[in-house]
Amino acid sequence: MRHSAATCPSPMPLPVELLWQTGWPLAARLFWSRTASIPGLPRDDLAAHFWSGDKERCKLASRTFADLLFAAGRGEEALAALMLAADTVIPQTFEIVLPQLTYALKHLWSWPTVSKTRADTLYRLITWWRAARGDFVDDGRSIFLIAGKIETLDASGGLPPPSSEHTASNKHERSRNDAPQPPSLVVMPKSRATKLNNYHSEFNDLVDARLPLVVARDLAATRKSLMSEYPHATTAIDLILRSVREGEPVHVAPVLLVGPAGAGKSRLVRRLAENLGLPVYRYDGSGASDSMFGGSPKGWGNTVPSAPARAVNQTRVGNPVLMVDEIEKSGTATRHGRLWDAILPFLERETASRYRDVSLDCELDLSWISHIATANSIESLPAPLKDRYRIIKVPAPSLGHLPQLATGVLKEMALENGEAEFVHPLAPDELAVIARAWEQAGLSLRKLRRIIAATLEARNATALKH
Amino acid sequence: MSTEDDGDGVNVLRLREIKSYLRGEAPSLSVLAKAPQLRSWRLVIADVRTADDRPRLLMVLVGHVSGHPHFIDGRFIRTSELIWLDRNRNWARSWNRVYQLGAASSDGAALGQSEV
Repeated sequence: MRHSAATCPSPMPLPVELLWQTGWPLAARLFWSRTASIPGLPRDDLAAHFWSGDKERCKLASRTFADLLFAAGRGEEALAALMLAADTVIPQTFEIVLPQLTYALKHLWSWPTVSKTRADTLYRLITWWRAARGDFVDDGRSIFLIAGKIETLDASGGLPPPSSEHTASNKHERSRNDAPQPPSLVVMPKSRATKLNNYHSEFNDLVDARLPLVVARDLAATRKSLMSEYPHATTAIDLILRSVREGEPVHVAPVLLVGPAGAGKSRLVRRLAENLGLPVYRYDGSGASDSMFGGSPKGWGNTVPSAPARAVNQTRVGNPVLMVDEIEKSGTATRHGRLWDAILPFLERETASRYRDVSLDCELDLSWISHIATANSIESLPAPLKDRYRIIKVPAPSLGHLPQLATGVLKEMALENGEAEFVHPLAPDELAVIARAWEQAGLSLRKLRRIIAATLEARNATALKH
Repeated sequence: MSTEDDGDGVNVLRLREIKSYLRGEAPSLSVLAKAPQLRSWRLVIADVRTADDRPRLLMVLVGHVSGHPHFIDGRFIRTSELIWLDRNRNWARSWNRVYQLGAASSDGAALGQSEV
């Protein structure tokens, strides 16, 4: 009975449901949960790419899902995967989605719903068709986001004329005159590079590649959500965000976060970057990293480019965050040369914009990287290094912060479990138990997570018994 | 497959074919072998209005056809509305029939768009 799966009553076909999502992550999450029960999908293998936050890797993973789902006879889900792989910058990616999606919407699928009718859905689909026509090639946002926004602006029923004729001359004129170009950066211009050797094959497609620069959006919301998550670090958040401007590419001047272990410094950096849409590349200052920060010269057997170059290559963004964790611990790790000396040139924007990577033997523009370091103390750091960083204190949280911190942790855990809507607040007695345990653990945020997790487990265990 | 009247039989057949594509099946080799072939083809998005005057965009193929029941070989044609385009662009299903896709057009010369 092959049919049973296809005809099983479902509230809304997955592609239709995806059309109503207002952002790629929401659509992706829905897809992820709705395909969970399909046997034989190598979800674990694809998860790292699918959730990487990197557009190209997401697209590749989505296309792989589509192939596998078609092969498994699950065309609706496969079509949904192709929707996730659609890229407004490349209108052709819509061509293998829209004919079938439109037909199925009009003639095949039906769903019992009052609020989102077939006509509404077809109307929403027009934005997708416009993307196929190339109306949003300069936009850079996901089609889910654009469709969600346009619907409210454009309810009159009129269809704007095509914005581009797809002819070369016309397109050039557009980009010169009116169309705002998304900010981007060539990190590795070909004119300043010598031939790469085979240790660097992964860097080949960085040559002359125009990488996007992540632009700051909704700074006020970012500030608010970080402040509620880190009530003890509001000064630090304020100082960091001060150098970021709404609507401009994000660049945070070098910052060194100093505070006791467990104050949540590294996590704060990650959350900050997540909120700003920036990828993070982590370098372990305590010497656990097996490669040098400054890279090793070309001509050495196993030559490695500098950490900032690796960061850009891995994240495929011109302005990632490079986080050096526990920078003060590198003092004694002399085996790779001193991190402190190696990091200095990158902290000076002027120098970083023309950095000659000894391994790639190429001049790179690394001036858009945000350097954020963490340290438990800074006594041992040399003065030149301290001069280059803005040093910001992140104090340990106090018991008074507990209710707010606990709420943040709960939300985060719910999100990780894929059930954002189900945050069950802690009862006063639970909170009291947590407070005692946390105090004994030295008010470390890392330990707070574990304590709360244990409390929830205990709660679930008792709930099961009754 | 060869009947052109848009009678019920054709509608049912069309629906059945799309359903089979949604089960991951592609037109069989024998169906493809009999299907007309398009060379130097391009996709064109047309801007039309529905009967109730709502705007609508749709996709058609243009290209040089061979093996078509109604056109002589080599004729430059425009298909009816596409209702499935294979993700590897080897074949397509228009409203009326399956096409086998040969080499795509390399030049993007402008063509009339809103004839549908």
